[in-house]
Amino acid sequence: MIDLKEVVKIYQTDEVETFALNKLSLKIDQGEFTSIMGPSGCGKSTLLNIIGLIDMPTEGTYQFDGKIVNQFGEKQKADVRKENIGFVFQNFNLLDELPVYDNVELPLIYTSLSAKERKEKVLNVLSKLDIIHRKKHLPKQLSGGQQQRVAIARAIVNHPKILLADEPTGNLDSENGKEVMKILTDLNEEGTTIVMVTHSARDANYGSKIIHLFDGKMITENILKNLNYV
Amino acid sequence: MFKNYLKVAFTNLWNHKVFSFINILGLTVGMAACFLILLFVQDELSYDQYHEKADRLYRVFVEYKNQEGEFVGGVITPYILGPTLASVFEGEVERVIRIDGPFSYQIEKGDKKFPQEGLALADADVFDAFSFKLIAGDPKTALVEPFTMVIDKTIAEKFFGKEDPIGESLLIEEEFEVKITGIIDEIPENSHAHFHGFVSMASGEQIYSERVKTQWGEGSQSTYLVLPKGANAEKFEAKLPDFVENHTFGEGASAFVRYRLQKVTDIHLHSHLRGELEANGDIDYIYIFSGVALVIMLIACINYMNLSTARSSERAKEVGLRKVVGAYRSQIITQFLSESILLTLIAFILAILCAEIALPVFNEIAQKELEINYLENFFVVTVFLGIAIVIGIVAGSYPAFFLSSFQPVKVLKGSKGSSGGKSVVLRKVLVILQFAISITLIISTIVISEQLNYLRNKKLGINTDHIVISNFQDTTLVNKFPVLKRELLKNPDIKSITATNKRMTRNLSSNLGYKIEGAEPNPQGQDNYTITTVTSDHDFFKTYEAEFVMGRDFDETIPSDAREGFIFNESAIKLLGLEDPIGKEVESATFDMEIMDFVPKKGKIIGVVKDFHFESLDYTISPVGFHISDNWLNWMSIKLAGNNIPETVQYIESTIKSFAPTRPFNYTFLDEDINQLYQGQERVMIIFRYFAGLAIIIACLGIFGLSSFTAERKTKEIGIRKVLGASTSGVTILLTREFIKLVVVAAVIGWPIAYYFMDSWLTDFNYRIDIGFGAFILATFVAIFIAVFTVSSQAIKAALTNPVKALRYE
Repeated sequence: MIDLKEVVKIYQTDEVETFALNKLSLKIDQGEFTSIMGPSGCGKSTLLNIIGLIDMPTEGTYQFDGKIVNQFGEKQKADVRKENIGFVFQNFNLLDELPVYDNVELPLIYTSLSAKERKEKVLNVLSKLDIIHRKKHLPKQLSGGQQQRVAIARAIVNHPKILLADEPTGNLDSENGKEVMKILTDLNEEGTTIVMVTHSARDANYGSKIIHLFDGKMITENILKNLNYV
Repeated sequence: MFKNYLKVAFTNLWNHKVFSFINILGLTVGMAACFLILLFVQDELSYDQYHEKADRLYRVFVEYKNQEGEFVGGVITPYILGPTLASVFEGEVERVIRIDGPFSYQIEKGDKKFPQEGLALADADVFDAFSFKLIAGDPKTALVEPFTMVIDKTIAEKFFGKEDPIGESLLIEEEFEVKITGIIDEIPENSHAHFHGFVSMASGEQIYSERVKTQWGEGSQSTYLVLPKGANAEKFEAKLPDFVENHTFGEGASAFVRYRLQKVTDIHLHSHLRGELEANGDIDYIYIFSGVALVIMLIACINYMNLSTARSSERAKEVGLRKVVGAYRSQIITQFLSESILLTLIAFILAILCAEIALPVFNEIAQKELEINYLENFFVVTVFLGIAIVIGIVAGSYPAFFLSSFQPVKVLKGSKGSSGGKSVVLRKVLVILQFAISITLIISTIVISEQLNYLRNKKLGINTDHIVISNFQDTTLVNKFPVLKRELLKNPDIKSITATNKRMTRNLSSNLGYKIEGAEPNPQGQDNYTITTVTSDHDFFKTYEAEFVMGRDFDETIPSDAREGFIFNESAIKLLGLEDPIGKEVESATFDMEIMDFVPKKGKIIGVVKDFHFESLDYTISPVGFHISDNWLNWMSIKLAGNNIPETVQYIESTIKSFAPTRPFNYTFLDEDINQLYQGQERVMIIFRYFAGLAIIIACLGIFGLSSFTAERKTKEIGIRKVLGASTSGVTILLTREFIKLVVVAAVIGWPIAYYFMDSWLTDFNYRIDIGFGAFILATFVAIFIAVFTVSSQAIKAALTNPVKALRYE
């Protein structure tokens, strides 16, 4: 489903070139739960953004669902995103001005669904994640765990094939973190492909595959053991 | 989708009250101002458009070559011009209409007796050419017979109440009995002349002297033409020089006299001829006001752009998120545009309400009777709604394109997105633009009021204080004038009295031929000159305290003065090229009211008077010759001492009444007359000042909002500075300085623009001020003061914040 070949990402500031990803190749199949780990600045988020088509590789090819997406225009990428991909962020990124219901509805706004269909989907996902009683509340009236549940609800409301989570538990206490991981595992069991960036080895272990990044490169388990990194 | 946009838009407006308030207020005030200006402009442009034949209705005006070789245009044409045109150009003109007036006549019916202004003599076809609405009577025949009259509703009600006036009669000037044959509705406000009644021109045929009826140098008629459908006015006009040669003054005359056509619909805004029936508007002011409206809108739009992009960091997350979930850039643009359009529509509704509220005041200032009739003005309202939407799009487009360009990767990670280096520069440019406009407006306001003050205070060259002007109205009183004068002078509060043929401040129109001994030949190589003539009694110059540069004033003790004394002004002497004018022989003419004809008058120059303004300052001083007449007198000027003015006026009235018991006493104070001359310009000035003020207020609203955002953005910087020991005043200055810099740059841009516009505005004046440097400095300081005043409250607030708070927040 996701096939990255020798992907390079270079960030260029005035005089310095930084390799965020260095000839990285990665395959993720449908239904997998992949955890990406690594120290700060190793390129985890960059990788996730490239997978989510909100950033583009400098070199290398990226095939999504069998199509090479490197040359896609803004519109095509937006189409791929809205049909296939859901995003969950560490800092939730809920729109503070809108109540829970509207936040969750947001991705559906840009589809051709009717108002009735949208309502049905939103209510469904809200009850699934057990936050339907708070649908009229504003994000700031919710606890962190509830906010992240809203964010997940928003990410999955349109039934994406793949859910990208960038340190979803990073801003949560362990209790709420556990709950979020439980939700992700359940979703994965229902067939959603999940790619998650995390700092936490415990969270990473929920995944069926763990990828370690170091300086923009993937490192095998063995090398890791030798480095005493894990 | 759209519902969601609206919801987000409303939530946004609601959650950012200061931002919304500033924007909506700015746009509301801007649009209300625009709306009023639009109504005003539409009204000005609508003058005389209501005539069915407006597209082929023309006024014939005359141009005479003056001694300087320039053609000077006037409205007054000879009585015989109309019929001659009709017969010479039979088939080429559809109608020729002469209108003589407006005059003020005394009308009476039984015991009711009123002076009535706005009366005129008119040819029978007047209702065919002009679409004046007849309520009663037959438009085709109403004015065919001599001594028939059509009156307007107001006169009808005044004299006849509810009774039907048709067939009744009125007595005019105690002499002519006229039969009422029709009633017209009041002539619409948007007409170049407002008549209240028409007497048939056929009556004129019986009243006018043979001279008036036959001479090309006579008459006081305005001549109008209706050309046939499809006729070309320019081609017709091209035939008029031949007409002048063959049918009027004879061979060679077309070099000195030209008849020309102007569209009646052009009169109000484009015509500034001598003898205009009423004070006209000016197309320049239409341009100026439209420009001001545009500028006000521009400033309000800039506010929106600036404030929207300034708070872009707040909305960066939203944009990023929407993109992440699959929104196209176009959809985000649409969203921001719908937000700005929503904002302008709210402002639009409020603006209409504001305009309604402000309309009476505006009407008062503009001397208009504008109203917003939503059905009748449907067009204007629709256009305005369209403008509102366009403004929404224009104001919203920059923020929309700017915000929608945010990359989600960049804005979703950090706690706050960047507010962009480019947008900061653009914001500065826009603020500079706003202030450049404001400074231009302030300078213009100062220059315009200086010019008007100058005109008002410029010495006419004579003393016009405490002078009462009244007209004789009939020859009986003229004949009794010497006795009346003696009687009036018995009152110690009356200093002096004089009588003249022309009214002070009004146009001088009597041009007579002069042959003067020792004068240089005129530009045509002949020895005769045409010079404007004023006749008076002996006391004219004494009453007006005119200064003599040579010779002496008329003297009652020298009997020959009345017979043969001539006095000229400096301009006349200059025109004649006389080195030593006193004692030179003069051959000219005077008018004898007894025989209603000109008679030759010969004499000598006894004095030269310093140039003074007889007419308004709109005209340069023309050469004038003065001589004494005992009956070519129409106006009395009575100089009061200045004490007990009401009692003195009362005394004048009762004294005149004792000489002419039936004559109504009309009078004006000359000072008021003079003020009235500048009332039009004064009004324009007031309107301009109001709208310039509005523009500046809106600009201030903008920088007020902007400075609060700047202060917010700089919270961290301020915190660090304060931790390092900066004082509150130091921080305030830091924040304010940025805006002062912008104002100074704006001033540098605004100065030449203001100079250019004001200099070209002033070229229209014969007497104008020089634009001083003071206005520029003053305007700049005003702008800086306003900017500092607006910004400093925000700056002080920011500077007073506890630094710990500010730093923790980051």
